[in-house]
Amino acid sequence: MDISFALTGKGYVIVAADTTAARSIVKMKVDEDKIKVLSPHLLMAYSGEPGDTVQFAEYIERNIRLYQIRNTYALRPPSAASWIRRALADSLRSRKPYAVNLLVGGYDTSSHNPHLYWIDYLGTMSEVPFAAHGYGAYFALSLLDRYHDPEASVEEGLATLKRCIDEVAKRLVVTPEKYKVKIVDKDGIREVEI
Amino acid sequence: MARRYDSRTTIFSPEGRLYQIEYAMEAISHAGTVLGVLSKDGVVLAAEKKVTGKLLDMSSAKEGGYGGSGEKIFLLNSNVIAGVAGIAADANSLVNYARQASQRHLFMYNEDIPVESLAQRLCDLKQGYTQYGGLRPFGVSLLYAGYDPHYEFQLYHSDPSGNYSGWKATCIGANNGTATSLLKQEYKEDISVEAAIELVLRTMSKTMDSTTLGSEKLEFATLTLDANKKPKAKVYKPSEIDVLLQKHGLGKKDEDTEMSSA
Amino acid sequence: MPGTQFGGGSDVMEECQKTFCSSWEGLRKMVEGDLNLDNGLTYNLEDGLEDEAVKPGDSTVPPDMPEPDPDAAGRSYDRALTVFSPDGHLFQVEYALEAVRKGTCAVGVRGNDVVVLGVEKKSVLQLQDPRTVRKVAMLDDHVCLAFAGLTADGRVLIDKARIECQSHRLTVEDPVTVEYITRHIAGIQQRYTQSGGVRPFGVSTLIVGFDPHDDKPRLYQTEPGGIYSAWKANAIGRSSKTVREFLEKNHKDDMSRDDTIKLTVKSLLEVVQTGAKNIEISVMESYGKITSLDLAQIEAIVAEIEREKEAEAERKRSRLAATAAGQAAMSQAAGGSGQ
Repeated sequence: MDISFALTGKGYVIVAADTTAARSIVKMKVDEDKIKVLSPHLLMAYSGEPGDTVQFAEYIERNIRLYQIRNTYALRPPSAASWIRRALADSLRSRKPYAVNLLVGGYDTSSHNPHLYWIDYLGTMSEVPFAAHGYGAYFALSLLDRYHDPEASVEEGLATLKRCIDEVAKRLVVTPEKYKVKIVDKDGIREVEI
Repeated sequence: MARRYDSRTTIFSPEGRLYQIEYAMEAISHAGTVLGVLSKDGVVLAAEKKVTGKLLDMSSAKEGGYGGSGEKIFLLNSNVIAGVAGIAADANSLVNYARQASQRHLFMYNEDIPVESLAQRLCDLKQGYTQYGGLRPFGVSLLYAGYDPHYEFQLYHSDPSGNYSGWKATCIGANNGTATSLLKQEYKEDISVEAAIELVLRTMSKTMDSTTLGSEKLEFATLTLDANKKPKAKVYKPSEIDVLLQKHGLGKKDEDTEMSSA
Repeated sequence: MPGTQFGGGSDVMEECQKTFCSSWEGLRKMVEGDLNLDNGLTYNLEDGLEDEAVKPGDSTVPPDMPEPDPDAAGRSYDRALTVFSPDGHLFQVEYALEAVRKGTCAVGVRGNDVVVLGVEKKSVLQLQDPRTVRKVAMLDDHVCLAFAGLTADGRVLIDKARIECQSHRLTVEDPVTVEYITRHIAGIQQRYTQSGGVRPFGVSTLIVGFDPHDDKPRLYQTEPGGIYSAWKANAIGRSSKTVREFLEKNHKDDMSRDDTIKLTVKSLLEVVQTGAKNIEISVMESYGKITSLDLAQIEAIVAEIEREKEAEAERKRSRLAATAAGQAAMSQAAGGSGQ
């Protein structure tokens, strides 16, 4: 049921995820943060099997942090995404695989580029200009095809995101009421209300 | 009395010293000189070869491989080269370990290993060999010359104890004292890679025992960026070294080569 | 739930590994495994992720021992190196302390709401990159460590501690307390005084920080033998005895931030003759808030201390002169009356 979106723009990545924690047909909680801040310039939205998601995300969070403490600099987004994909791919081939889908967005402070990676529970990874997981993808991808602009300002990017959220609200049978939205750019990570 | 504490590596002497490490370092101070200089657009390494002989077959080094003759300077990864001083057999196993570590990093992170990480990996191994029983330390010091996006061009030195540090220009092996003081006098901040090459060759010619420099006594390598801003290591082939030496007026006199070719 | 499973595959692999695990292999694995954490796995990720993984509970496992071997008795390297002497000493531990005494000096001082770490910095050589010469390391956002002794040993110990910090967060969702990580480090050091075929770590450490949800500054020390203790102020390394005595004389409870920093610098100056350029100061003011003083700031403090010393000496001189004059007058008077 989780829905997550992400899109890049001029020097930033916006990552959004719904905040509903549900069990079967019951909403348990509506203020769950499903976007982890992995390092000063790296975000990860996770969705999938509840329990697996949190367990896996925390594991990733601690290891990315360990890398940063050991080396004084953080992993760059492409390297972090590769490592995360590897973790998931290895998990898939273990006896108890994690069923987790991810959107990893980051800003590379050495090459000054935003990066966004779409990763699914099978360990598929691709770098993309925009991405979505869950039922939201059915409604949002065509909109993003039409409206996404890699040179867009943050305001324009948020407007595009709003279109996706509105479309889901309009068409999906069980639509989440709230989303958490985080932006990563050269200044780091901040949360915005939408 | 002292003998009780210097036969096994992992034992502290009453003064808190680890003799085996000190002896290993002593061995290195007699090994062929290795010299490295960092510049703003590249790193330069040169090494003195000890194994020479008229009948030594160098043809394999000239043709295949990445240019080195496999005694002193090695390509560890596409972004790191290293010069070794000390026991050659130990060096070979460390080089092998370093190459594996680099590839493991590439496998996990899909990026070239950061230079300091690689130096740290090797130092962790070296440290282990000073602390665990039944092992002797590696009798090798290394100079690592490399590039990564975090700190760009870098030059590191590591010793048998597992210490490492970063340098602008440094030297290990025989006569390192002379070479270091020469480097101290002549090194300038913001030196270009061309100037660094010249500095390295000049210092090498002054510190090496032999009067003339030639490819049979010298290994040479540079690490620079190519047109796509990717690190590019160049380990010079013997013929290229001779050309370079001629260019800087440090090679053998012309008549020497004429004599030998006649 | 989607997912693919291959049953039983890894069991076979494990069996194979066991069969090949000869004694030398075991030793090699011990060295490499313990160093690189190639054995560090995690919840449910049973294979892969070998390299950097934090594994909860990893910490409580003693260093991997080689497979037991019938001829082990014939080899000296898997027996404990640190054994009791007939008169009850553990000489290797005592000698390791000697290595610590040769190391550069580090000082920790606790103030009212601040804790300061000061280290003697060996002068960086002209051609050396100062970034790579480090004596103080962050273990986590809120814990900082300085060590004295063998640098390589220190680096390895720091790495182990950093892993534990993240591992602890992963297991119990809380950052470590300063005491916990100190106990952990001391525990590692202790194991290396008792396990087969290893020598002790040649380092003492000072660990400073703040516990989560707490505003009391903490300062701990660990030693090669595995002892740890809490302190108001302490020093390790070269001439630590002199510095400790100085601290004992001059430490007061409830010092302000500036006083704490000043006392740290002052105590370091007892052993560092070359002044500000060979001193490094890190100040921790609250959970996760740590700053390093730059050279100019340290120089200012050193200058202030010099001035105070000067003034003190001046006062002493004048007082001495006054007493001398008084005595002279007295004796003159006495002499006069005697006549």
